[in-house]
Amino acid sequence: MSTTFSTLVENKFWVLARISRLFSRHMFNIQSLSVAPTINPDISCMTIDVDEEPDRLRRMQVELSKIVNVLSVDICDKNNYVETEMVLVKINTSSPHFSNFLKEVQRFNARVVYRQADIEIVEFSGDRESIKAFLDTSLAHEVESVIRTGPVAMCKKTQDNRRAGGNLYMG
Amino acid sequence: MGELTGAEIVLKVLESQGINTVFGHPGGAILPLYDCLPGSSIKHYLVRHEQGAVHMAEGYARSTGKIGVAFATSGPGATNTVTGLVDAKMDSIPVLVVSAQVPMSLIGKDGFQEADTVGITLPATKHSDMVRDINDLEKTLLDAFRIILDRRPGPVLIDIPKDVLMAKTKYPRYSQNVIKRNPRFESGDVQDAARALCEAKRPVVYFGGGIINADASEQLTRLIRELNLPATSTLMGLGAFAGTDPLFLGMLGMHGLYPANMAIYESDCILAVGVRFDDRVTGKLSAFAPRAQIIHIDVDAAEIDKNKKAAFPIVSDAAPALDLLYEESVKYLKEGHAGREKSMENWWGVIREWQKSRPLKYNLKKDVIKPQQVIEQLYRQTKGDAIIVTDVGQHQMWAAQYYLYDKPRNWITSGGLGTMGYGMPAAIGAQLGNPGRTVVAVVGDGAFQMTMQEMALLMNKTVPVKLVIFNNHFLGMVRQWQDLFYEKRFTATDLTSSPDFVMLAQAYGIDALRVDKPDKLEDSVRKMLESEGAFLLDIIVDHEEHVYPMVPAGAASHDMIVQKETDLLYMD
Ligand SMILES: Cc1ncc(C[n+]2csc(CCOP(=O)(O)OP(=O)(O)O)c2C)c(N)n1
Repeated sequence: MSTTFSTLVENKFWVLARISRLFSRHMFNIQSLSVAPTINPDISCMTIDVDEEPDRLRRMQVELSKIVNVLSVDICDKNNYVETEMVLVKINTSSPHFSNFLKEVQRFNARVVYRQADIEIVEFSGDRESIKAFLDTSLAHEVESVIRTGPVAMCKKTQDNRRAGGNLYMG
Repeated sequence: MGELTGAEIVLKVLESQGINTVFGHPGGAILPLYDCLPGSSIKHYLVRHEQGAVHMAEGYARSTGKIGVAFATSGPGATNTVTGLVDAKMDSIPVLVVSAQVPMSLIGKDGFQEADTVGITLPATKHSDMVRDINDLEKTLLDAFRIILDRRPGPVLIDIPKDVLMAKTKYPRYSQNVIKRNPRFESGDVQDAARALCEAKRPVVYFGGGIINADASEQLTRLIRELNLPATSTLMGLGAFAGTDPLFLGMLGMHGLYPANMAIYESDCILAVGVRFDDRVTGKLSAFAPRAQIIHIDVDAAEIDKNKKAAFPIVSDAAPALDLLYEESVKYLKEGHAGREKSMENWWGVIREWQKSRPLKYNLKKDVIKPQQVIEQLYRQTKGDAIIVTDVGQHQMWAAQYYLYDKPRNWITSGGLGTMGYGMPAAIGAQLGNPGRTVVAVVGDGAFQMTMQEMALLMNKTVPVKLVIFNNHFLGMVRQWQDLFYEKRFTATDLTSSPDFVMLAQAYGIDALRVDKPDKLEDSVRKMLESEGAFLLDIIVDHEEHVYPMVPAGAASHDMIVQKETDLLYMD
């Protein structure tokens, strides 16, 4: 089962290395990873997707929270988190599947972000299920390539109180 | 508030945190720091290899409870600290390594003696970091002290480029109060745990090095005695509860005592505190304490349920958790639980039987010294009050089994990493942290040769370490495994090409003696202990001797081999 960690970290050198080495050390394969600063430029949010057993996830959560530059770690569940992912799909307009593909693009409300000569690039975002559905149809239409960002997740509550505990060494 | 250089700030911060002893080795990148040393109150000890510096810092830290500090230069200096750092990480020892780095402008360009020290040490430390800006230096160092001491102690490395050491900035910017541990209780149901412990028919306390780090011996002792509990220790926990107390069953695990391993096997409730259910303790996990409910107290939440599921997980510093457990237990027992006394009497009866039928034992010989005999002799002559520091191998296990440690911090050994070469440098660190105490380094002829260059520090009269070499002319522990599990194919364990250790000591200006006859042992040990300065005693011991009991790797911990093959005995 694919699971998502949402972690707030200091926006600093070495932080990604500390985190990624911890995953390798515990023999986790990271499926996807997305990182960018939050409103506070000193703090970044990392969304990390893995495919693992539930009890190993709990342990990883504890291990992650021990890293000095990690401020909070959540395992995202559907009830508390909104998840979305973006994919870019490139198709050759001379492909015999192109017109059918365009119908799907409309059906999914995807957006053409680039069109030049015989190349078209389409962007689509959505939750896990719709991404899977969109990719299934795209692949059926023999597109040239697909690039995914991996999911990002946001807590549904207005007050994101995960920061309350904070990190010991920040102050 | 004036301006200081980075080098001066490093020394000022160390001084402010009560550091007066540093072990290290200079080189190009760290020269600015060494250049300032004479102006500070810090005493520096020049090691001969940076691994030795970290082990000395570890020995100093473990024996005093203070933070041990080591300096290393960039590149090879820093990489030489890695073994020591991992050792300190495995055993949760509070150590700070300050390494210098090539100037900022050379970083990433393969400059002379550039190594990616932070990258190399990420997994070797609790935390490692580089200071890029002189204005961050003071805070980074103070944070390092905080990180080392927070919850589970561990090593931190701070890497400082040479130009940052030479730059100037305002100092101080922050409070220079001494940073202290902040023991706290975090989570867990102590009341339920206390009830389980009091209601158990066959309870056992299994404690470890965490008690020593938490300075919680008193709390542990009070609880064990109040509840009349049998107690067993890990290798790292020895001394946290008095080794001579009748409630103490001895060490458990691979070379643990028979009653200790059996008690764990039969137990219905185990209070595990400051321990991590290491494989050298548990043997085959599924057969470890198969009938017991486990109360697990640890300061590191990541230890809970890591190897063994806890029925009562308690995340806390050991001291407050043991205090609470004591109070709750006393309260519970006050309500009157008449059956308990009887069931404890039965349980102790079973344990005393095991102790009687399977005591630790070895056979004396007329013409060869038995290694166990040496430890007993050391115990007798030091009245159990020396600081014993060991290396890694058979001699280490005998020192754990045959010397009884009544106080914490009298026993210093490399447990988790099992680092050969740890012994002598760690003993030097322990001696410098405990002037006036008798510090004995118990080392093997193999392990000693991994860091024996540090003997140079023993020439200094302030380091009167007593160095006892258990010379069996073999890598004994490996040979034991070859003997038992590899059909006596003794590949690459012969050490007969070693130097004459007595002559070697003399070359360093250290008094030394060799002894190979049992009837001369007592005198030689006395001579060593009475000597004023450092002393090397080269004891030729029986190379056929094995460490028993032994739980073969991966076997169930109650399946102990208790004797030599002549009357080989597998117990069930
Ligand atoms: C650095 C390192 N290399 C290898 C080992 C594996 N090892 C463990 S015990 C041992 C033998 C130690 O021999 P010696 O120091 O002579 O002690 P003895 O067992 O004979 O008492 C070896 C090689 C180790 N623990 N550490």
